[in-house]
Amino acid sequence: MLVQAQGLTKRYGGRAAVDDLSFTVRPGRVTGFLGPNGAGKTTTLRLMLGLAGGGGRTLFDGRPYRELPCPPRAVGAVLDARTFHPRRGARDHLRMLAAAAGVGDRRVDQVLDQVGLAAVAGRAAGGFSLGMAQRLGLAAALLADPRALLLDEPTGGLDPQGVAWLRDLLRAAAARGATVLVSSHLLAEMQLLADHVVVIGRGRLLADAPLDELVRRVARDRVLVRSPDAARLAGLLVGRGAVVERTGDGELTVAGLDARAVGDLAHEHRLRVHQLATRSASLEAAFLALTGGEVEYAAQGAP
Amino acid sequence: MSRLLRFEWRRMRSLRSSRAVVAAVVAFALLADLTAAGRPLDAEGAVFHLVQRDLAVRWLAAAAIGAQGFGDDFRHGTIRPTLLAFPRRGRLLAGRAVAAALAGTAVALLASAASLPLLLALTRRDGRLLADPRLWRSLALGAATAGLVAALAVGLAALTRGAGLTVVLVALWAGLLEPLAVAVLGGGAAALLPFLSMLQLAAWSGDALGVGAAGPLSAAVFPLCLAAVLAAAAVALARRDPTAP
Repeated sequence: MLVQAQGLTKRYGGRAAVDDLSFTVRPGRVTGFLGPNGAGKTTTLRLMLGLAGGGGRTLFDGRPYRELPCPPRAVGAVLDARTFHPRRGARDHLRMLAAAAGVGDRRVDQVLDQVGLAAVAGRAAGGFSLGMAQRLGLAAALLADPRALLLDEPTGGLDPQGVAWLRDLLRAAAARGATVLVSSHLLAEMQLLADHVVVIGRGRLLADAPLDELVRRVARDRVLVRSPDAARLAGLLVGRGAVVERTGDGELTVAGLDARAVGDLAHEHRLRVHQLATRSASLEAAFLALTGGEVEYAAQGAP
Repeated sequence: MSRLLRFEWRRMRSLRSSRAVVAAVVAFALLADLTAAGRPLDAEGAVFHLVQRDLAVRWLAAAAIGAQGFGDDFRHGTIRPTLLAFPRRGRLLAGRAVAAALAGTAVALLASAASLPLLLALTRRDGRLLADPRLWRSLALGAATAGLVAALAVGLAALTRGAGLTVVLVALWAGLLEPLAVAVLGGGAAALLPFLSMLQLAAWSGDALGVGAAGPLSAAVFPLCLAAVLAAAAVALARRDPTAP
């Protein structure tokens, strides 16, 4: 299912929470949806699903969400883990949603098994931990085996095994041809999961690219050097056009030259080197480079 | 619509509070029947015991059943999954009103059906009692009024976003404001007041209750009021961001 967000806009008072945002989510891959706190990710997802009013439109295979014949069969969404009646049992909650999706009760037990909640299916959901609530939300999204999954911070509250399970689940869904859009703050996790990323800041689109390409384009590999002659070496590196940052006592972080060039330069000038390592460019580095000026909420000063 | 009705049925029956409301209505009817033990019973008495006596309780129960859908949805945030499943808000409101009306009618019929055999067993009944069409008319209209109150509560809960507040509003409206209006304006005003006009329809004799006999307007007032509340609720649901606090 092709998901096209076109000109999404949402204003609170005079402030634009989402500002003319357009992007496309394609089937068969996991698309990460990234942005700093307050960037407008959740608002964007709510706009896409018609839960919030605003400008622009989102088409799911050419149709707005509200015009899909049976929305739960087309799109599975989790925007908030704790959206259940606290005194209703997990199985009853899913049976209710199964009736809404037009699927049978047998499927309810299947998804309860799939998300690992079969043993607590009869328990009132109000007593669930955040991780269990997250699994229940995922079970609800998976219930009708939808062709698209839109998940807002689905790893929140999950233990490491749960995160790995979710990663496998979403990758398998994408491999089967499903469209998967996942917002997350866990950049290391997203680097393992996403094929493509959409990055927003202050409600505006900052990047919409394959993950590898974005990391290559925005973040550069860096070289870590430890040397008792760090000061002299730094001068020589700057002379060769590198950008050098002193990151500790006798430690330099070098951008613009690779590890071999740094090692050769030190050797030429008979400078001792105790450590020489390449730090690969990461999604985190790319994200920080992209969103550095687009942070809505930031701590002041060092802790 | 059938998906929505199945969803509503599952929603209602999966909560202990819904089952408790039904049990309370039936239990109230059966316990109240005990007061009639050993007394003679004719068709008018049967209408009193099976319809009039419990009408306020059944209306309140129907209001609770109707208010529960949107009330719980807004209180617990389940409005999001509800709207994800049924994004057309007008249809959701209409479906909920139909489901609540059916449930409110069914609860009232169930209570009357449970009460009737006990009442017949406990009293010295008139042999022609069950042949009187006015008994069955009152039973049907009494149940229908409970259904209408449940549908009204759906609209009020969508406007107020609270189940408790909705039930209190219905109680104040039916139990305080309308009797007060009749006390001030006279019994003739009852035909223009939604709840009292329904009482005129369901009761054996409105005159005996001081609210006057049912007139041509009696059958129209509550449905018109219901339509106005549902229209306001539809506008509110469409305009307001239902997921905002």
